[in-house]
Amino acid sequence: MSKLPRHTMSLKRFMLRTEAIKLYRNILRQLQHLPDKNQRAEIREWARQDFETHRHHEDEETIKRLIMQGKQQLEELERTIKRANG
Amino acid sequence: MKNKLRNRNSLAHDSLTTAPAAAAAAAVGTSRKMATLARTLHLVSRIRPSTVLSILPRAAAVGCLHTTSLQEHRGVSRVVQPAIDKTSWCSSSVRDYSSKPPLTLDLIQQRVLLVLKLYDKINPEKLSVESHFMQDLGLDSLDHVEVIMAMEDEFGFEIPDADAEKLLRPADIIRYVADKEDIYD
Repeated sequence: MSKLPRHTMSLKRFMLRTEAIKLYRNILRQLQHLPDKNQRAEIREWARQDFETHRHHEDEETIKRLIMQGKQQLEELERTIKRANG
Repeated sequence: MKNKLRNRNSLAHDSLTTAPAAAAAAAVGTSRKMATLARTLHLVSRIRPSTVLSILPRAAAVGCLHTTSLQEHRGVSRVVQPAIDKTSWCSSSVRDYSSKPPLTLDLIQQRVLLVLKLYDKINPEKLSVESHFMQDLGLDSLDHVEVIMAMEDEFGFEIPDADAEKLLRPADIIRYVADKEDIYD
């Protein structure tokens, strides 16, 4: 019935995907406030690893939960960086 | 340091070195300045006691601001020196405070391609101005985010999310940067 290409995801999935990408971008932006470049690269690698391990999930609830966890970790990162920069 | 000592010589109080140091630190707010202030205060308090206590914090703040502004001026001219040397040999009497090199479409293209070549997930042989990040170069959306952040770093301005998701080829990025910097070659 649908004339869309076969691998088009539903709107909800697309919005979740956009959320995840936004989360990754916000993490990278937050890391710009870290003065130490090695630390920056380390945390970026670690975040990327996390995203990669959860790349395969298909279930909406799982994805939403992981994105929420990611956002909490981002807030934690923000607070730590603020404290470190004083 | 000499400025601060001159200011402090006439204003010292022997028993209250900590209070004015704290007040001055609160006024200035940098730990390095606090250390030098504490040092000068300890030094001066041994020289001569005085009753002019209230001026001390204000003078300390003024002294610190004076040196910071001096340092800032010195810092700016240090940054500007290379720009003057490289761009024109005859303008040594003219101060040019802009620190960006003049952009042309060609320069933007070179810089974009250089950043992409240095990115380890891109194969430099497959890279061209029209190659699509995801379809030709095999990047995924997270790599794309990293590429856009590298471009923000290179050109010094932030690219909002809505614009970033449309920049899928080096040519798009080059056109976007040229638009933002108002370059019409």
